[in-house]
Amino acid sequence: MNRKEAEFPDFEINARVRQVLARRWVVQQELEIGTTDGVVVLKGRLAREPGGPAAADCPEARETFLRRLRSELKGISGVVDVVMELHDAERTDAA
Amino acid sequence: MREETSRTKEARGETKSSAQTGGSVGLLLDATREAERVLEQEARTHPSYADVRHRLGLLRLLVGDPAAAEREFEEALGINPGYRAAYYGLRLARLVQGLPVEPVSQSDAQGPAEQEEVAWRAVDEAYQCLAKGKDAAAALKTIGQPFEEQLFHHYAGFFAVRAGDLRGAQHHFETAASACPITRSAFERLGILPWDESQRDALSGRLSCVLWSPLAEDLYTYLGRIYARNGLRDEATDCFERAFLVLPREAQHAMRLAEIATAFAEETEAIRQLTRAIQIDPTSVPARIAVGFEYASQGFLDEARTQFQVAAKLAPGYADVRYNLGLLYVGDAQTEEALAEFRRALSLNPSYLPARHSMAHLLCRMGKYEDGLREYARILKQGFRSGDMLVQMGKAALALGHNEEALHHLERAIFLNPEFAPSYYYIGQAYQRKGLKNKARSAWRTYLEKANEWEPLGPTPRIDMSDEAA
Repeated sequence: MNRKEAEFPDFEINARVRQVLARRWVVQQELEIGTTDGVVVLKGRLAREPGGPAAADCPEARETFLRRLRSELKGISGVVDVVMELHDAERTDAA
Repeated sequence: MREETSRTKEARGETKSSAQTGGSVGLLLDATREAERVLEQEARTHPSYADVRHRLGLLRLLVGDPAAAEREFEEALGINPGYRAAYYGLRLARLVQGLPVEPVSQSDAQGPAEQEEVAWRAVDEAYQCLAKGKDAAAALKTIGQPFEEQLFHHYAGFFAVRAGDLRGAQHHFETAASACPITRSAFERLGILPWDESQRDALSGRLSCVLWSPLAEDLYTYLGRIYARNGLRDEATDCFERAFLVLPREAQHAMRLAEIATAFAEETEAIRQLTRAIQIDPTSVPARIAVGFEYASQGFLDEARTQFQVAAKLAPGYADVRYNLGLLYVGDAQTEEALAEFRRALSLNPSYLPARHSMAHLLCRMGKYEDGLREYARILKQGFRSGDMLVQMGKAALALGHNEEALHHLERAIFLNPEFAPSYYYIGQAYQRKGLKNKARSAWRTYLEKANEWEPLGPTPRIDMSDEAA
């Protein structure tokens, strides 16, 4: 297709995506994380581990965070696009 | 109660020595407050989250407010009456207030949950014995594998101090510390070890800084992450060691440390801790998955593959493991194996979007366009849209000779992501097949304009300018 697949296997991209999410304190258990032909898909509830500044909870800060996250994920070698389908709906795994 | 008072003091920053309490007292106040703020907000936003209420209950216990804790646990049980951790939390809140509790109800927990409940029940009984002036250690002896020795000594030491048996406490703590360096480190941070007879009076207070319940493992992990996220490694480690004291699981402890190492971009340390977690517990699927991803992110795909293959054998029911194993097989050009893994992932979780997405793409690559389109259509039904996916659908439709369908998908792809060059390349092909030369030419021109950063998709479209001139 339009990228050097052998050089950037989807699995490796997927692992690097998880690494970025871990470094940004994103709770990965509430997300489906996948890569298909260099297109990264994040689907689910994007929550972050607690401990950030209180202001980070506001919608504007969340938008900024998402924009930066997208940009950082796009910076991973082999990533063609990042598709985020995120919601803040009720979790399905809540005890 | 003495134990609540000491915890409250630590939370309020009233204790004198941070060395005694393990970390900066002022910062502990912040973590507890931060946890309280976040959990209360989450409880307001999502009133149906029983686990949030449960964690709030533990937090109330930690700061010495068992009456408030009782209310939180009751809330949690009101949401989910079968929530065993909250059930034991409620019992603990009542026990530390000196209130009566019913005999423990029957549980239908199995596997790891059952093992955890054995520990909860044993400590619950030990608290009951303490309240009745009986030997708490006898109740703790009911603890079975996998916690047996270490957990017994941690709690037997604590209950011995509570019962005034300092010699017994010393025996238990030193035995536990000699068996495990994490325990030794935790007790040294707390100021319990090295044992100092002249500090006898302070011992009870120092021990009471810990919420002595296996349930508190979750809370200490939560607090540790707050510290870690704020760059406070030492305080995070202190919390994780307390998590280990209340429920000594070495593999989990190593995974918590690996989590911090990953967050701080310490690749070698992350691998070291995860490898240790696997050495301690070779059946730990989360550790296998984590180390697999860590290896992969560092480019060691063979090691990653091995870990995922083992994880898949240990836990055939993990859709995520199946999906990632499928991706590994795609990378190895083992398409049939990859398809089988994607199908397994989807049989475990039919709405698992990345697995269906990768499967649809692989089917098209294998030339099974109709099957691929069928899978893509299912993804669309799930409400998912992406420009890239629509381009793939367009390509598949073109391959099948379904020109109108291809146009439909490709037009939507351009609408969704006008900057995605391949959409223009393929829509140009669709226009050409319809005999729409000008539209095809315009699409390809756009493709060439936008495709600078892309590798060629195929032969560069030849734009015949003579038509345009005419």
